[in-house]
Amino acid sequence: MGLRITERALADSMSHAEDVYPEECCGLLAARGGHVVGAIRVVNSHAGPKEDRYYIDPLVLGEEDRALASRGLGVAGIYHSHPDSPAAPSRFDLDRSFPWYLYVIISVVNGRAVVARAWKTGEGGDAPEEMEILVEAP
Amino acid sequence: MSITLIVPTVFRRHTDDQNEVHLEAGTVKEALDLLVARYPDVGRSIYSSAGRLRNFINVYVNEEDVRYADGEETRLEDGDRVLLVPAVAGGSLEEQPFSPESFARYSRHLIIPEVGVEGQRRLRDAKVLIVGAGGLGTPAATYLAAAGVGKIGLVDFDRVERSNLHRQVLYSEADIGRPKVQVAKRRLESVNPLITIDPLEVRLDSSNALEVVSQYDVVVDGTDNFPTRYLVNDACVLLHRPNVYASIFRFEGQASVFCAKDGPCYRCLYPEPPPAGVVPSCAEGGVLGVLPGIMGAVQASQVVNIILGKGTPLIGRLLLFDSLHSTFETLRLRKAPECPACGENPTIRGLIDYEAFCGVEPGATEFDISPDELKRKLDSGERLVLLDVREPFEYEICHLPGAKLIPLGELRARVNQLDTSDEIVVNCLSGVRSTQGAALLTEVGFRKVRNLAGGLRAWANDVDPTLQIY
Ligand SMILES: [Zn+2]
Ligand SMILES: [Zn+2]
Repeated sequence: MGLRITERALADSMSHAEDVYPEECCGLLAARGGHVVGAIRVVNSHAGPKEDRYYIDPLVLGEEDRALASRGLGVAGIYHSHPDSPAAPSRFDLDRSFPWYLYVIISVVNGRAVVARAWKTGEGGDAPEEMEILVEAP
Repeated sequence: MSITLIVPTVFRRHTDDQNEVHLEAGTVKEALDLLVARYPDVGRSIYSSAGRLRNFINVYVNEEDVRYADGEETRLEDGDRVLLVPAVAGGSLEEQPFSPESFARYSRHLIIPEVGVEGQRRLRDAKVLIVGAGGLGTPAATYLAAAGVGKIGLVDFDRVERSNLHRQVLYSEADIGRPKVQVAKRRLESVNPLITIDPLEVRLDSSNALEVVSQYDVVVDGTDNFPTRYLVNDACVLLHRPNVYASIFRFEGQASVFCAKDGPCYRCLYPEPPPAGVVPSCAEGGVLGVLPGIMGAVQASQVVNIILGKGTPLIGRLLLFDSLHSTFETLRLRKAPECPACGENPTIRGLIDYEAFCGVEPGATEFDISPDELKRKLDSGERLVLLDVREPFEYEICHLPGAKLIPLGELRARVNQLDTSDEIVVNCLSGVRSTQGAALLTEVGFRKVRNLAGGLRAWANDVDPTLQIY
């Protein structure tokens, strides 16, 4: 199973990750009919150092979600960055993940977004399943 | 009640493509039950197999988190909008596995459902800054260290004094004269070797506060003076860190949690500091030794609630404890829309000069006379009237030779016992009451009034070490 995402959405999420380095970035994957068509930047509201943690204010998520709904879109998943660490979910990510969302993780090394990988998480202790990223035009 | 329940768009496939569901429900729980009855697939998504709302799903009624209302029992009104939304979080930092030693040490925590391994991990990963390693800071630090808070920063510039020991039980006789944060680090790391104490032997001020505070998740305000209290508050507002506050005076303590999301800050309660010298400090007014132990422990329990994300912290509430009359009370606090720090149009966008803001610029008053200067005047035989404005029982402990006693509270009524043509030097224990006394005399027409800067404490330090200080 793959994650279909437009080239533009993927590039936007990766430049967001570079912009806030060395902090973690976070944002929403806006989708229509199973295709991710946009990366929506969200403020990292983690109440503490943001180099290795992110938090999305639920009210912000709710607001963005409704705005997307009014345009016939929806939130299909979440992207965030791992500054100077691999693009795989940490135990901490998994413990807080929701099985209904897709997760894109971007590894940023020395300020450059080097790779993005997509994951689907299961229930509780299940190992995450990697999804192939299928880039679509534009 | 006709209400609207809004679910995340990702559930639309389970809800006939609707993300707003209209229901008749009297409480949040009724609304959720009806939602799940109508769309069982949503129920399977939001409830755990044990039938409880999944962790990290938040429910808001008209943008207010129901955890700060009555939880699932929160009552609904016609037209309410109930929002069901996940709190998404994560991070690259790998969590260290729990050592067998941790299981043994924290076993009484691990068996509380509200803590458990997950909660104990949160405590371990938390970073707490404690400003002031004194009466409040030391009990707070002791309990947080024992509870397993992974990193505790302790800010204090002072050294241990004998007069600290009646309440700051972390320190002992042998520590007198040593830097507090160094002694505290050694003691606390022996209480719990699994944690780290950062000893920060600095004076927190506008130049370093943001840098220091930004390294921590939660701040405990254990300060004993207004400039630092406003500094800590403003830094917490600017950096969005919860500020766990307490203050003590004689038999009374108060505590609250400021600067939390949507909660009030210290300036919402006290927009301006009191005029310098009006509110005496513990050094000046005294404090029951056991009181900071209680209030510091209250602060520690608030920090634990915040880190665990459980229970109802003192956000928007002020806890008042009166140890003399044995009463606890809580008052509601409102977030002030006009608050200069956290209001709708904040004017404080950076840290300011807090000494000037609180009007305590040392040496700024021309009334002041230093102990050395007073000594010279007395030695040279200058005719001076020494006026002591403390209470009679304090005067009995020590006083300057020949000093006339008129307690501050009686001064206005007894000014006729003084001569306006005399040069008068007012003194008290630390210089606070005497500043007020000197100001009062000036106000009623005395012209040659000076204030002994730093009071008898400074006199004992600089001139006469044999003076019995308390
Ligand atoms: Zn992550
Ligand atoms: Zn405020």
